[in-house]
Amino acid sequence: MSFVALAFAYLRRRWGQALLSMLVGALGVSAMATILMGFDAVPESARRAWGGVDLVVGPKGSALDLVLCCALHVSDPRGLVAMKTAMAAVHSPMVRAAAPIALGDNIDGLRIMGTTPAILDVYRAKLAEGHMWTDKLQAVLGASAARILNLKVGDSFVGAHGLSAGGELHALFPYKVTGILQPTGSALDRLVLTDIETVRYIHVEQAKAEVAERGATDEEPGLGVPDAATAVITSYRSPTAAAFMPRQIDATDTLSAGSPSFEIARLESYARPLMQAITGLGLLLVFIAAAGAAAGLLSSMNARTRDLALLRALGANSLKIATVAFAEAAMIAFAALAVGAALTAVLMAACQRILAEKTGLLFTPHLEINQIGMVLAGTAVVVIVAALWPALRAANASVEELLQ
Amino acid sequence: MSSTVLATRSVMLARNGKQFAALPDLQIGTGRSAAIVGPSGSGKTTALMALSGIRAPAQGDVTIDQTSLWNLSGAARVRFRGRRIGLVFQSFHLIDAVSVAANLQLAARCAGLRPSEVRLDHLLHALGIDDLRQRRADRISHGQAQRVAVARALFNKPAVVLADEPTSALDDAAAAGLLALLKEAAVSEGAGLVIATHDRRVLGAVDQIVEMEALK
Repeated sequence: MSFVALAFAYLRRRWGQALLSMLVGALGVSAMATILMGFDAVPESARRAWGGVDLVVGPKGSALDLVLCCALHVSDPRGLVAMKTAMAAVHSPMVRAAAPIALGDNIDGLRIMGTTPAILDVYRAKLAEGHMWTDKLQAVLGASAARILNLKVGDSFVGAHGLSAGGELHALFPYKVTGILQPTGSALDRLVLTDIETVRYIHVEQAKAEVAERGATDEEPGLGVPDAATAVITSYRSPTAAAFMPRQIDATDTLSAGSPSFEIARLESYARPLMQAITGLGLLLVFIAAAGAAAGLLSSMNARTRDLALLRALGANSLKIATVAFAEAAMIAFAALAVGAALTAVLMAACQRILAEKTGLLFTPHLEINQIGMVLAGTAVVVIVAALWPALRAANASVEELLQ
Repeated sequence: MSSTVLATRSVMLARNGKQFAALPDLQIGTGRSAAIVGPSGSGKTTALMALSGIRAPAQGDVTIDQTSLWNLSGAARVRFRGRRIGLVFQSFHLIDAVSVAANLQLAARCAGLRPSEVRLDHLLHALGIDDLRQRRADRISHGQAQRVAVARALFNKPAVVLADEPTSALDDAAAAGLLALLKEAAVSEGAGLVIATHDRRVLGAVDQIVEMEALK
């Protein structure tokens, strides 16, 4: 029986109080770790998602909307642009690649995006197998889309209307898979690409078929209109383009420009106070846990005055007696650390799954070595703070009490 | 011929800075026993504190196992107490949260010694409590707790065992049983035994009796 084992035996005797201190501590640790990880991981996952897209040009409106819709593919389009006008606006030696995109259909919630082969240049993407489309109703799948849909080159599938799963099927217009892209780590991986003319063709033909059948159509003219596109996405050749191009485009009457890096940085700056508030809450929880553990230790040390005096009588020095108090605090703190870490892992896994399902964003949170060091150092500080006073009290236990 | 394990010389005891009692000189050999007697408030417990290195006497010297107890530094005295003095308290003071075996092992740990399994087996067997080895200390009877307390006092092979009013709450049979147990254990372990008591039943069981002297 060591002094650490004795501390554990004492903890077992007051397991309810110890469990409460541990759980509060675990919540604090989890809140802190979640913030530390999420603070970096969310913008990082967004950066990965927009890939090589430097600028999105769309209809007049919110630049953030444009980025969320056409670079990150997490929200719905707000309108259409004239493709030729938008392409002309980004025609510049400073632009390395530009491609129009048309969003309107999906397959099992994955977006079908009408575009041109220049999209591969924008994302610096390459075919893993097969070839690009050469005709209408042909599709090239992003790497994740091919895996999720379990489709391979030569397979056929039918798209559905709208950008969420469950829309009306375009059953008359099956696509044929002609190629699959190599993974890029960007939102492109979850997209199904097709010729932009195919998107127009399907919407026009679907409308004609509905008119022939019922004398009317639910199809909006939108993407069926020649020259219409959701946006144009571009990749710069020169970083100096970022200084001029968005301003030039915003100055036009019909177009807006959204820069993913700028908009996400802006979003981050809005979120920072919220993150700081949650960090403060996490710190408060950790403080409450420490105070609870200290109060618990103190009361248990008071209840054990005779035991501690006995240890002194049996020859234990102050250090050995203080060890009992510190070991109790350390056990609570490290259990809180372990449970907090497990809780964080579960939370992060859930976030990862929900974000992937709802937005396709690849969320890969992790702690840097220095952050892990900070958490461990913080735990050590909490142990010292919680155990110091009880340990001092214990170390000064009077043996005389046993003989009174 | 037994060698001296405990000797006191001119020990005076103080309370609140004032000398109030004297302990007659005492000399005990291995396997021998003594009782310090006197009415309540006569200074028996204070004398036991002086003999165990807990509270310094106002004057005088206490020698245990050829070591002058009060010439040691505080830390050395605490360590010496753990290794060479076995204590049996009036209400035994076992640690309830742990097993009987752990109570004995902690005596060694406190003294900075490695607990010996052989010693543990021997004492548990000698005191007839082998079956209590893993039982938690708060789940044993009063009589069993007495034996565990004696075993703990003997665990580190002390030179002397000091017992404070061990029979005060016991009936005649139980008191006689405990005295016999303490004496047997002290004899078999080669330790001296000192009992501070106001219980007259103890007097016939010990080799030497010293009565506390009140100072006017």
